[in-house]
Amino acid sequence: MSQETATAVRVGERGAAVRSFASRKVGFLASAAVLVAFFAINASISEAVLTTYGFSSFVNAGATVALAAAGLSVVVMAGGLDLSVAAVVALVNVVVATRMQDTSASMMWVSLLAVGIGVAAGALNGVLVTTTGLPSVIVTLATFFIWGGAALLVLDSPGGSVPFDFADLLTGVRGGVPNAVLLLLGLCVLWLLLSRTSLRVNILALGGDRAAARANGVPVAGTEVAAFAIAGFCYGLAGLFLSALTVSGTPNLGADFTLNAFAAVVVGGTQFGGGRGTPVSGLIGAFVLYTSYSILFTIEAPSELNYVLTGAILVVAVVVQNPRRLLVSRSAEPVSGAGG
Amino acid sequence: MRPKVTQMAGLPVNDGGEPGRPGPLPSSTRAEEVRPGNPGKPDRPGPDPGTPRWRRAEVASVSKCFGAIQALDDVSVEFRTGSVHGLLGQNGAGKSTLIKVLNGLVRPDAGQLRIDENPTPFAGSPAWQVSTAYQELTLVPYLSVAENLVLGRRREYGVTSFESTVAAASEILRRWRVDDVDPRKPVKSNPLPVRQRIEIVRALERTDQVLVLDEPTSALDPAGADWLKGQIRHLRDRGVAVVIVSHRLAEIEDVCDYVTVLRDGRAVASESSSGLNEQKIATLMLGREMLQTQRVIADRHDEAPRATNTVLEVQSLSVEPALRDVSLTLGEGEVLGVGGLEGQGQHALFMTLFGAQRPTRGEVLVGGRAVRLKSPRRAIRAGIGMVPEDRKTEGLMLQRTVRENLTLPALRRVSRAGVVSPAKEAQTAAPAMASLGLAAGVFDNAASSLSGGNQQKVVAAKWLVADSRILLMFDPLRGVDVGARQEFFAWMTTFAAGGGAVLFYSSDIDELTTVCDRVITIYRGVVTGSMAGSEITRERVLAGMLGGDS
Repeated sequence: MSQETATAVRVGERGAAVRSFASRKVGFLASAAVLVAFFAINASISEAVLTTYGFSSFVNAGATVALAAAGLSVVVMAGGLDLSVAAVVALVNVVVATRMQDTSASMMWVSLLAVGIGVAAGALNGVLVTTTGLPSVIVTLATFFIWGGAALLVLDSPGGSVPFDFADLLTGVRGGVPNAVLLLLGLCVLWLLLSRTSLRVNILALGGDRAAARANGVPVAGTEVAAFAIAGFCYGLAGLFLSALTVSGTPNLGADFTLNAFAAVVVGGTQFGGGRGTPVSGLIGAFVLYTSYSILFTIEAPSELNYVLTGAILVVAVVVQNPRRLLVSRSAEPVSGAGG
Repeated sequence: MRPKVTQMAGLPVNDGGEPGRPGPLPSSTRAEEVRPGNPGKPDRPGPDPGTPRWRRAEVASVSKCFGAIQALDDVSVEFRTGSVHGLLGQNGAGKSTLIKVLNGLVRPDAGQLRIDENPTPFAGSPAWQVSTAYQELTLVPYLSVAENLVLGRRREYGVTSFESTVAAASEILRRWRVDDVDPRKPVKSNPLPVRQRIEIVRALERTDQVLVLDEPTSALDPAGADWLKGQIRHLRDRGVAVVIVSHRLAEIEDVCDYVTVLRDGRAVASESSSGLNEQKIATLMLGREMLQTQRVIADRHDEAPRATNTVLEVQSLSVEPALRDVSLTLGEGEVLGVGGLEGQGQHALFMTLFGAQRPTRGEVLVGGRAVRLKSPRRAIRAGIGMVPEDRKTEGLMLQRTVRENLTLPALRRVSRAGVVSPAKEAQTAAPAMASLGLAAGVFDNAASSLSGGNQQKVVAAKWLVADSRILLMFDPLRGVDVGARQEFFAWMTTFAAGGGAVLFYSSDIDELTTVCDRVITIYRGVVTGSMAGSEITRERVLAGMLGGDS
């Protein structure tokens, strides 16, 4: 093969790779485009969000739910649901608010402990789901109460404190870049690395078709535990970030937080049922929602409208993500067992 | 019966190699169909020809029960490396269970595996590595073709990239002569025949000992079937034992060296395929003991088909890809039989007429008026009822009472002012139950407490309550005992005589010849035969089921 044809072939392959990347990531790219558009609208109404302070408070406001939604996305990708999000985040939050001392050693150890609690809580969810065979909704509903109760045992009412240095580490700004942005980017990089192992494919296989995954020798139980544990890792980060942001502990974070995380997952484009998605889109979904809140705030609309807007965005997002459902009537779907 | 060691006529004769196994082939004949363009290029996996790890694997006296169902009953089969084995049987004959025993997913209650006389476990032995391509594909829909091909294989948790996976998958596809599949695209975006080829490629790639192909041609087009035959021959020549499970002999006939026929969990024949023809195998597959029945409606059979009111007319109905251009009429008072081997499109026909599947073309007329059967609800309103094969999941709510099951499709008829009236329920259901011979005492018992035959009677009675005039009966008597079958036949003729009409598919030819006024046969989605009255014979029905001539 001549040098020229070889190059031509390689260029052709590159083109195919780019096209295939674009087509595989179309949902992700679309939600990212929506985020950019929303942010542009926000900036055109008020330039405050473009200032260093404005941008960092915008990122800080969205980061907790974004981190939790990233974790939740992994569970959803694996075909599960995790209702225990808020309870795990709250547990981590109160542990940090009651244990962290104003020394760098304490900050480090308590941070590790916090992430460890998240991973352990997530892994336990996964172990319970695989060993009992119960739907993950049921298992995590139970653990939602368990971790929520544990959080109240640690701290029975909002309180505690978090050292300023720690708060600044996560929510401050260095050289014009909010530290939260670095944290979120770090999580993205971590996922990029992880997605180059067979784990990502195994998670998507598990979510796409559990029986098929099993028949292909995918370690189903291990993959499921890993998915929940990765989610727990993200919840741990979310709990840490919440602590830094509020510099106190809130034991009863409540179902609101869980529902926001679910909304962010859906808006980001990770569809319930599993087999598709990425945690990065959970981050994007959360910020699409927060940008819309920010727009409402800027135009001085009543904050109660946030809920209405969340609902509207959810419906639009799901419809846009499933254009075929609009075109194909549901009754045309064959019943199970059809196809003789 | 043990398979004979004789070679099938038409297969290559041993060229001085070991007896009982085809030797290496002259590359001028078969190898060229396998690899057109570049014969002799040693790029295929598998051990060298002539060096399989073992020669003979005997599955000896395997039995397996699932609850009360004897799925396998003392089945013995022998497999040889470097040969192709056909495993044939109707639905429910035990094929799937045998596959799962072979690949270790199901542990048999009794029996063992002996490889070259050494007892070997079915699961976990390096000497018995089975790779299976399933009919109900085990591909993960949203993952790319490439990721599916390597799924579960990448044990290492090292860093890979999507593009390197694509490269590996392209190599696999190229090796197995699949050149029209984009490994980057999600599996879901490929049509079913392509998905089946991907499933097969994955199994081909993962074996050097035993390859099990479960109904591999069920979704393949003729070109795909030819491709598959080429790959099968290639693997056989590499010393792999290939097991093809099918109910359709025609497509695999010429690649099989040995054939085992299963029926009702037993191996009824196991021999070299040279001694078998299609007719003989079909008879072995289908031939249950003749029901000890006289024709229920023998007198009516001999009448010329009467001019009756047409209650159901199907015009050029197509349900791609299962059914093509099927037309039929069903007259008042008529039992119209549908004959067909498993999977010829009859299921799509029944599902479409019951509104559970959408036709791609064609019209359905009920009582002369065109109806759009968009949902079962519409079909029920049009007077159509369905008695499915699987009463437990499609016909009944087992946990609920007979009462609730009977009145569910017709709640409006048993309600006063929108409130369900228990008295009206009982009053409406009583004649239906009596007509089917169901004891009134079971009215408030759970449906699960009834025997299989009685459960099926409840399903039928349900449509009497709903006042359906057209009954679609899809192999309703499978697994029902002979006595209940007789009662059912009598009821079907009574129902028809009372102004109803029945479209009746059965996997048992004798049921069709016993009860039907007319019979049509379906093969590969098209009507291949139509007969009435005394024309309805086992032979004619069977001929139609196998492709027919009329």
